[in-house]
Amino acid sequence: MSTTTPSRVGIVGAGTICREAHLPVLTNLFEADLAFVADVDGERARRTTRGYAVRGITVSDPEDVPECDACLLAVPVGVRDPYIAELGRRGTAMFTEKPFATDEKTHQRRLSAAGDTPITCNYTRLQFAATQQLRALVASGLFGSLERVSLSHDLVGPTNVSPGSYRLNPRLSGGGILAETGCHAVSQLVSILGGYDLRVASSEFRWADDIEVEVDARLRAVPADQGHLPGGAESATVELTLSRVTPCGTHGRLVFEDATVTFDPVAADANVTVELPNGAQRSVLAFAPAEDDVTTFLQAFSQEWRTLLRAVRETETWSDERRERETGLAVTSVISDIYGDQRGEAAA
Amino acid sequence: MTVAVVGGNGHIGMELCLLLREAGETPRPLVRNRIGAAFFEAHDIDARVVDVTDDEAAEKALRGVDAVVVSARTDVERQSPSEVKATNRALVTGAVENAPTDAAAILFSSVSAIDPSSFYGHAKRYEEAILSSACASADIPGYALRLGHVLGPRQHWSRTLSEYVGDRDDLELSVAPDRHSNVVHTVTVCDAVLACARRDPEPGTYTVVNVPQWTWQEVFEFYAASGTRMRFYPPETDEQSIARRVVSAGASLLEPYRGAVFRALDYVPDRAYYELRGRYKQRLAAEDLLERIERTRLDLFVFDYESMPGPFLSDLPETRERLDQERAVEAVFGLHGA
Repeated sequence: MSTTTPSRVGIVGAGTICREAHLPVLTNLFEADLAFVADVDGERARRTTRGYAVRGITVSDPEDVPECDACLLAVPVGVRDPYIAELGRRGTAMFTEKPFATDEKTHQRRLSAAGDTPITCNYTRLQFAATQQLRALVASGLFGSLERVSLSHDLVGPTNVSPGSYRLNPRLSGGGILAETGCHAVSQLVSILGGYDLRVASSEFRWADDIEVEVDARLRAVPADQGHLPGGAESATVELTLSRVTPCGTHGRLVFEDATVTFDPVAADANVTVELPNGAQRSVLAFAPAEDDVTTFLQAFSQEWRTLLRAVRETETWSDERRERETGLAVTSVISDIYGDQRGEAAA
Repeated sequence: MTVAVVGGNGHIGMELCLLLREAGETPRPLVRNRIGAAFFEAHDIDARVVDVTDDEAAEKALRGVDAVVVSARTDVERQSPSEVKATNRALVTGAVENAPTDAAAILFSSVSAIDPSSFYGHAKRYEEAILSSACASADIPGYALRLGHVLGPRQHWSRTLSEYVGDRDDLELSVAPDRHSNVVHTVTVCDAVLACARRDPEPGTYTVVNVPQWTWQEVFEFYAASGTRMRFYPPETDEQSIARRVVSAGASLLEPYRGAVFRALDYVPDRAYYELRGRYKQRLAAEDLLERIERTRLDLFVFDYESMPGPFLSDLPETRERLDQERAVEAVFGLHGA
């Protein structure tokens, strides 16, 4: 029998991600006791919480956010600063939606404002088995040196963006396809290529006014520690393509000296497929998630919450390095470099 | 002809726009925001960012069109039933009332509306009624097209079928091969739209499926490589349903009395015990085999649909003859930077 006392968890931002993921997941975690769901639109908060044993409330001033042990910030990145400052002042652990920030200066400012409290960002795909398997694969050097990585996400089709949505305002959203969705792909690249520094060689954007709708970035993955990576690995080329305009397909591919590995970067239950040259023939092996791996988005969300709530329960103190890793400072750095000076009026 | 498509960047709307262009017509996608318009701008199609429930903006956006297609809607995933009705009503009436007086109005309904016992079918019937009423008021011809299960390069059903077929050498399908599939390729949807835009048929409600109707065998032959072996297991007779009946019958009979049954074995002759043991082993095997069957055999809810009744639009070209047009869509949706 569990003797865990649940932590009180609050939610600020009763939008889609709260409704579709965080709220149903949190109500199913014994580690969490939902305290409130707050929104500037109180009616939306109440509508979202119907059917749940938690109150929906109106909050437009961060100082009015009720007390809790951990708080989800599911508000647009452009309005997050005052909430981080207030919750940091209180020592409340924080779980922010992605991206944490889109430039390093803002990222560090927010970490500083959060104080010493555990803080993490919802880079869900880092929980995917494929992401974790590939990280281990790259680190092992099993298939020789890494030559090329490509990751693309095809978003052509319905935008699911209503008129008046914050996603049409880069000051609120942080940007377009790169900040909004591409941050997940970048987080996967950063994780999988853990022993490498990612340096942007070039990036091309296509804009719909001030919102980027296509990004084509070329990076170099340079071994961070030549002695650490097997075989004296040299740099690898990395291609990142995200588009609402040009159907590019959704795929991930790592080309090694001795094998080509592919996976679906957006599927929580993706297999990792390895193609090995075998003389005149090719052998194809597929590796499924292991028994205890997550296989759905909601399971991935629950793992992230469990990590944070364990930190709360055990009053863990996270080092700066841990906090930077949990909030994806390296992700922010790459995103910022990809934008370069091409960002329109996107908010930091 | 110029054909406006409300919801032009939806899955069906997008392919429709590309196919209309391929057919030499002028699509005019209407989308809600500039992100949605970006795709069309990149492919030289004149998209308009407009809220069709805004009469002034909608009238301007629909000026000069020969037909307006309503391919946009909301659903209960996002809104309550009453909100869904209100939103979809506003979309249909906005499109119809602001269309030119010599235009035709076309609503993408669904074969689900034929049996409105599902929420979706019921909602589609409602939209059809709104179309009819709005068109009568505006005195423009209205066509409700009840689309079958839509196939096309970017359609959900095509992806489902392609993913199952994959590179399998053997397909196992829980459907009779000659059962009508009720599928419709987007090329035929486009032909139906153009026929209505030309006012060929009388205004009314029509079922749109492939011409002629494809069987499920034809559907899977379309997606599978040649030489792929297909085995069909019509649900009434195949061993999957037999196994299910065995499992459920045995379980339902014994379950309440499990403890008593085991105790009673002390008193039965050995012959009876062996008889029961044999039947028990059969049941365990049935459960075991059923697990794999359910994992590997494709069983879609659409397999259960009866052949859809008409009326159908007459004189539409045969779907197979039109599939070449899909290459225009595939060309746009080809790999980027390959």
